[in-house]
Amino acid sequence: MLHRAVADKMLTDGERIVEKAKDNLERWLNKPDFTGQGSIALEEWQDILENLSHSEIRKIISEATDEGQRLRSSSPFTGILTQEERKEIYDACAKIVSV
Amino acid sequence: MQKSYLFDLISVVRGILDENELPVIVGSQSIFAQTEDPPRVVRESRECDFLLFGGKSVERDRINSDYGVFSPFADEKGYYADALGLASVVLPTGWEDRLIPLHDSEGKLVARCLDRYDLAASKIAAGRPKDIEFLADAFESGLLSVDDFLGRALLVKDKLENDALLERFERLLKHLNSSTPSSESVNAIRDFVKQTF
Repeated sequence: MLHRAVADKMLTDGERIVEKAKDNLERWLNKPDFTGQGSIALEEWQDILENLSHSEIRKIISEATDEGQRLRSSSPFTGILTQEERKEIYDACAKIVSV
Repeated sequence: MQKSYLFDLISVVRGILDENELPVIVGSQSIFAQTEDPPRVVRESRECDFLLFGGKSVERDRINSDYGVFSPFADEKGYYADALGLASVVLPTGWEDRLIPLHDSEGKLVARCLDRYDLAASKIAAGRPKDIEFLADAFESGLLSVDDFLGRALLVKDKLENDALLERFERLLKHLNSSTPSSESVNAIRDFVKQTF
């Protein structure tokens, strides 16, 4: 649900969100420990953000496919949702689980 | 994830738990308690699953809020914690009695981790591509014995809906068949599937 919220935000603020994700990847990849195997998934995301359209990226982060799930597990979309937005989503998930 | 990142996450999670409480690690990262050379998917992962149970929902929420996915911590560090309850993970019967201690570089006990065969059983129960890849890598490297894995997998059979575990094993066989079609591992798993389902 967190990624779906990011996908929704991309409808109105796609350029900024993609730039933020690119910045995140560059920052993390510059850390010494994110080399070798730890960097493969991040480099894959760099390729996606450079080459796919916003609508294709939205599809990747919101679809319930194995591939989407794999990519989302190394998501670069931090710093997009506010803490309040994250809390609302966690609260909504908690309600679903407890129903 | 590098082991140093795992210790960093353990440290912040311990800041939320009771003073003498040790975190329980249940996801792929728990393998670090039993090897320094984990499967590739473990190195690639940026999350660590912590199991909080027994009325720990407040602590769970705090961990996810402060150190979870898309948190400011994750934004800064590039890795994050995922605090789960027992409803979110399938574990084999008796897993609590087989937890493995995890020590930091100074030899201090800092967490308890799933035994590798309990982890493997939870992986086959989940059956996602990354879980299947973990199992295949672990068989190939010798980290897991197929026979011991199959024995432990029986302990999750009744915890899944009808045929769900069979479907997970078919995924595993498909993956293994693509790389080592006539290996002893594949033959043992194929025999197990025939006899069990």
